[in-house]
Amino acid sequence: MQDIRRRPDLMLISSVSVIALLLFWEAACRLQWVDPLFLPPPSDVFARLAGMWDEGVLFDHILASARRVMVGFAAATALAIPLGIFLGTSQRARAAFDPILSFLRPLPSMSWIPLSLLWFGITETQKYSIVFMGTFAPALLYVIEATRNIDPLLIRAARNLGTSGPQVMRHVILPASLPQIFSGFKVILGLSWTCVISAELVAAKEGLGFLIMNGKEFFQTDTVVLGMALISVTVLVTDVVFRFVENRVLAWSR
Amino acid sequence: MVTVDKPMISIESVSKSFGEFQALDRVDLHIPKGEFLVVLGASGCGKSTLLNLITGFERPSSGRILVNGREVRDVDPHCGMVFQQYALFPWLTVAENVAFGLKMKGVPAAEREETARKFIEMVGLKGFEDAYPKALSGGMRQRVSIARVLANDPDVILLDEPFAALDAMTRQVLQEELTRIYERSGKTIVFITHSIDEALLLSTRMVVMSARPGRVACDMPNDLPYPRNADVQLSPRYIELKSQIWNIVQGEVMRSLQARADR
Amino acid sequence: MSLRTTRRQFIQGMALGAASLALPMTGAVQAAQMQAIRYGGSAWLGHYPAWLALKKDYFKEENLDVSWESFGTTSARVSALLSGNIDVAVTAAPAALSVMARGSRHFAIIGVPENFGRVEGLLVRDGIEKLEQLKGKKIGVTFASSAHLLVLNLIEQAGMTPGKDITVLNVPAPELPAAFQSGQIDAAAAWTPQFNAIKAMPGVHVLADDTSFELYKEYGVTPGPDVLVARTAFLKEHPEAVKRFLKAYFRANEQLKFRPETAVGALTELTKLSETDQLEMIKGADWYGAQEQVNLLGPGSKYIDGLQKLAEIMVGFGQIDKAPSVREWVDPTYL
Repeated sequence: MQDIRRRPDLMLISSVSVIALLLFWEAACRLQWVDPLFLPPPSDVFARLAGMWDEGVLFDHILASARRVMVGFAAATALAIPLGIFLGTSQRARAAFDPILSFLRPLPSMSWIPLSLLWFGITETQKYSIVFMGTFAPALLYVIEATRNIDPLLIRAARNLGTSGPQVMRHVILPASLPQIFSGFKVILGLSWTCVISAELVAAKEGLGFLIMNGKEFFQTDTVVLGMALISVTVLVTDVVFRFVENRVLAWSR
Repeated sequence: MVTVDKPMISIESVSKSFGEFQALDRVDLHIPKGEFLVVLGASGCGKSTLLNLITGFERPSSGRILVNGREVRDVDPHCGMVFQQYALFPWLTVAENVAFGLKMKGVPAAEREETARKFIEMVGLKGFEDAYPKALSGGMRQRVSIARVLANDPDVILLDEPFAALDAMTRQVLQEELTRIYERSGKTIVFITHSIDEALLLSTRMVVMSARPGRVACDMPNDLPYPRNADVQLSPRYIELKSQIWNIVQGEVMRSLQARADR
Repeated sequence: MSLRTTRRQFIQGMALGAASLALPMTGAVQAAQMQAIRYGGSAWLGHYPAWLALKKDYFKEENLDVSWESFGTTSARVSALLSGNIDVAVTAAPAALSVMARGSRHFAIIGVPENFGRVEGLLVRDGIEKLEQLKGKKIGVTFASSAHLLVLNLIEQAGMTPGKDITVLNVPAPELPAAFQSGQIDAAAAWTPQFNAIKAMPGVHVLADDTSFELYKEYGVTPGPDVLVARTAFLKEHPEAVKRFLKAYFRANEQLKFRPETAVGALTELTKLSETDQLEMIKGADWYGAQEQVNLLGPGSKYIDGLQKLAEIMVGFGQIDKAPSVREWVDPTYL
């Protein structure tokens, strides 16, 4: 994506391709090739967008979903980093945790929904918990992997300079593994969105997943498509923000 | 100046095996305080292993090592190591790298900065305090590495072929600087190299090790005068020492080639 | 319906609805004589007549080979109907109205099975006698359902605003009893069986049921009445078969109305309820027989006017964009 910004000819092709697709889609609907109930034309989707903007509810939905992503993601990553570093360094601890992790990792976030509803009810905590349960295990594994991939020479040098065990974890292993952790967490961020949307499909009263679900109930396919488009855009925006943070924190590794 | 009474480093009948392979075989070596010892030898003669035993990265299979009267049981900041690959922390600036050991010891920030600045200047990198390692050349990185070890004020400095990856000119500059630092600080130094010239240039004492298993083949003092400038390097005594070492080393190389062929 | 089934059917329904274009498929004709009809149902009481007719061979006697497809949610069922995977179904009117609001002519309303107004309503703890007392509190209801519409309407009738004066939370139907019991919500709007379950809790009573709905007194229309719908293409191709279907269908309907005990055995196979609970369920609804259908669906009927008004209420709540002309979708010619 970065290269494309420097190639105006490629940017032109991309833009034209998008416009062509939208025009074709609009035409297909207008010409009744497709029943608008099954696929609304882009003009309908935009009209719905404008309507929601006027009502002032658009940002409520976007922010609700974004908030759930951020809280769940923050909780999962904040716990995954120290625990992952610890597990990455200790073979014994890894042996103790491995069975639990192997069991948790393959579970998709949706499978946690029934339990989470029992434990937390219809609260925001329930949504956060879905994101957490869907992302914690993979995040942890990313951190462990990153920890084990750092140059052991750095640890030797640190210990040679008089660094104690815990200090090594905090002052050497953590910063050294950050680049790999960050790239893994980009994936986790995308995963968080998936979790939030599936959580919202079941028991929410606002949010982008709710928008899709509610639209479906009333056969407002344009709302469904709008919800999908908004998810896409919002995820891209959060990606950009993430990348920005990454570039600042990891300036030393570029 | 070399003092003779209690040795700084005592290597007492040390053997080290890695499984079947015996890296060192009953090495005895006593290094007094202020010695600049250079260890010469072909690859696989256990030079690096010896250094790793002194720092505590490895434990001897038999025998023991004492540094400053205390037995080495674990990694010890009393023996500061300079690695061939520099091992600088890429996320820290030059100054932060140099101050690292002090920070771990809990030295307050202002004092750390000042000490770091002093040693950065000593290795000739004044002005580069806020640079990151990735922006530095190999020679500069090695200087930071040396400054980092010095700032920690160890009793012993160990260097494992520190200049091998550098070009000849940088190497020469760094050799001169190391010698200056040695003269100013009076620290005990153990230096590993392949190069006979480097050994002659830097050392107060030279040890040649034989390979497979690693043993001390020859242990001789280096009485060349300081500074070891061009005149000294062309003097007859230099040539004499060089030819002595050369014969010994050659003999060892032949022996190890033979041993490999016989296998 | 368990949450698991609902979600599975939702995914199925979404896949069906979204993947296919609007080309209705004709049902497969199996044997030479027997007409195949695919019916979409669930364990909901609105499907009792169809199930009963199937199990008691009423359909067979009319030379009809009716197959049963299960769908956990109304929208899944409607999607299946639209994409031609089923031919006939009972669905909640709001879902049908939503599709009609989009101008889709894929189906027609051919009958009204029953009225379950007495087993859907707003349940509160003793001490609450008026809706105003719920100001600042939380009502739990499944969004986009008849109970949801009831709640919104009740709040409006009391002169309050949902969201501002009272919080309305989206709670999936199976979670309502637990949410109410644990105090996460102060009131619950549900339909049977959750309605019965919550009502049975100590210190709980019904604040209002469907009969308090704005349209009920005048039109007899509850917030989410069930309607029997069929695919327009199927109706065109097999009009005679549809007539026979309805004959068998209302035969079962009348059995439920007049001799409910005889239906319990067959129905428990569908619902897995105990016999006493099953009987209670049947009796909880008012079943409309064949004669009543003319009054309900005939030209100028108040019921259709009521459905029209229902559509307008839904527009008012922003659930559909414009009210369709409901009468255009009603086809009583098969009765």
